[in-house]
Amino acid sequence: MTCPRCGYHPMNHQADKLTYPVTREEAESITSVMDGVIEEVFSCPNCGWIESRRPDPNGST
Amino acid sequence: MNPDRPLFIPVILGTPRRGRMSEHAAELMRAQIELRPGVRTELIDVAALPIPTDDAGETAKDAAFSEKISFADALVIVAPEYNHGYPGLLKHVLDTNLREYIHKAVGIVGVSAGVFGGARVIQNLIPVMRELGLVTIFWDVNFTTVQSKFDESGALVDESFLPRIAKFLDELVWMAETLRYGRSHVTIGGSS
Repeated sequence: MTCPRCGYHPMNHQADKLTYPVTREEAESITSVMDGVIEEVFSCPNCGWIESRRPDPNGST
Repeated sequence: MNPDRPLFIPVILGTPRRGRMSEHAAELMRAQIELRPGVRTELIDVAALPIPTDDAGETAKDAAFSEKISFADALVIVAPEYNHGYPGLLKHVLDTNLREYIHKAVGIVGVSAGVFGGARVIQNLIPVMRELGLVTIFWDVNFTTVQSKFDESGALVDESFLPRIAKFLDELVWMAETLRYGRSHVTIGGSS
């Protein structure tokens, strides 16, 4: 991922955070094992900006 | 990489109530942080944030607040104790963000008119901090009987608090520097 603020590449994938559903669509995607939705969290080593995204369903990051 | 980027440690004033004495504590913390080289800070007042109370999550975000939290390396939360708990607006404001907090340090300053100095609000906030992805430090600051600790202008009248605040900030800055390194250089699952 490229930093949308300063253009640095690559941002560091620093965390996978389990988040709780806000929308009905998100709520329908949770399972009893993953009690929420995974969010991949990235940090920019240059400017410190934080970004996140949902994992690629095909498995690549 | 930008090694000269100063740490950013904003102070969140966690109550909107009129006559709040936590404001003096928050301003004191901001001023003490500002004295530290290589650290910048500012006061964020939950009462001044244009965040709706009838929605949550991304749709309720205030862009300016989220930007500050995104660039923050650590937070100081000044929280008065209301009926042994935290102010409802503080929780609502904190809940409008998530990714912005992950792997960042937080120190909590408890404020109360009684003798426990917000000890119970701190204990109640710690599990919230954990779920938000913040990393709590082991120092707190407890403003007991806050009405006797500041004069009407907001000046601290009991300077015995300053050494404790210094220890609190020493630990917070250490944690902020360490976690900045980790966020920037350590990839999750990288050793597996």
